[in-house]
Amino acid sequence: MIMAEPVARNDSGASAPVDEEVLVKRARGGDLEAYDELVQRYQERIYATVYHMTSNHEDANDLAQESFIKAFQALKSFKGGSSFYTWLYRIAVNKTINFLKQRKNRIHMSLNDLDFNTEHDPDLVAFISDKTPRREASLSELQDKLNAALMKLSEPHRLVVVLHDVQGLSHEEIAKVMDCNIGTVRSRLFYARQQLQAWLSDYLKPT
Amino acid sequence: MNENQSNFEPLRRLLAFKRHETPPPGYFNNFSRQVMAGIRAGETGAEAEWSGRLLASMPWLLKLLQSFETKPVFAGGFATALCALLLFGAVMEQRPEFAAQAMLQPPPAQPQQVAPLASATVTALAEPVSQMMLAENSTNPVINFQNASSDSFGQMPVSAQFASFPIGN
Repeated sequence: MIMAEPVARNDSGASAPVDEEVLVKRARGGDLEAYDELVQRYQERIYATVYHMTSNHEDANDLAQESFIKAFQALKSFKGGSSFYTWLYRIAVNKTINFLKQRKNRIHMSLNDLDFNTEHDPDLVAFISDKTPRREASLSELQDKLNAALMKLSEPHRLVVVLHDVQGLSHEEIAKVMDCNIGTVRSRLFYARQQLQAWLSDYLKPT
Repeated sequence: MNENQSNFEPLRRLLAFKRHETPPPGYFNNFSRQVMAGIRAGETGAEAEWSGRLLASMPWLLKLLQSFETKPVFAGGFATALCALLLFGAVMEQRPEFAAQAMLQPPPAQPQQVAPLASATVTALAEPVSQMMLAENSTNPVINFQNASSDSFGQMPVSAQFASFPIGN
């Protein structure tokens, strides 16, 4: 299973806004079944965002669950000015950033395994064999390096990279989630990419 | 921006590698269940918090409940007394004539048992006032100040004597 593909517009609320609206309305009235449906709809994306921010499965599990619980408790304050998933993302992102600030300088990576598709992804295999300085470099080593480089970024810069380059959110969506303007998102993304490029230069030889 | 995008293309492809990091198989099967359990636990926690506050505000209730735990006999006795009370209530309810009579009948007049000194004082004070109220009509003053003043000074006769102080021999 490939997790957190670039946001599929089908289930982000665009194709079935009525369904989501109904579910949110029912959940606001205390209907746990409706909220369960909402959780199942967004659990993978919320988990993935938190996981890529923390590089730790256990932390991501706790934070993602707490985010959903907090969202349910705060559902009465959801006015519907933005889509539910943007609001949910904001809760998860704020919770994660607060957690990371408290845990500053105590980074402990607990990475998930790579899925079966990794070794069969021709794009990725070609990339590794062509671009890595040591062809024997294993996928897990690359995974470690990549995560370590991401963790060196500040939280706002890491968040922009994760949401855009890993999760596939647009600049506009990221601006809504981070509650800032699009220009800020673009400049943060540019700076973060520059930093990552410098740190991962061994793996990124120019074509 | 397009130039920048193309410059970062290898990096973007490398970052796409992150998408292959997945949690253990079946992880998401239980995820929503755990969230729901967390929500229910939170609600239970709120209820527990409420009952905790109640017990804190009534320490006697806490002692009573603790005594039930430590002394089951006490709990049994309490339960028996409660049952007896309920039974009594139920029996009394089935006898409406008794309940109606109890409500309609005035309480039996009980003889006033007042201390002799107090009753005498009350009688002594009440009699002159009642006589006065009956004798005088409502436009007259309640108390006859002339009589009152003479009576009071009559009881204390005033007498004067010359005083003489011998000076020398």
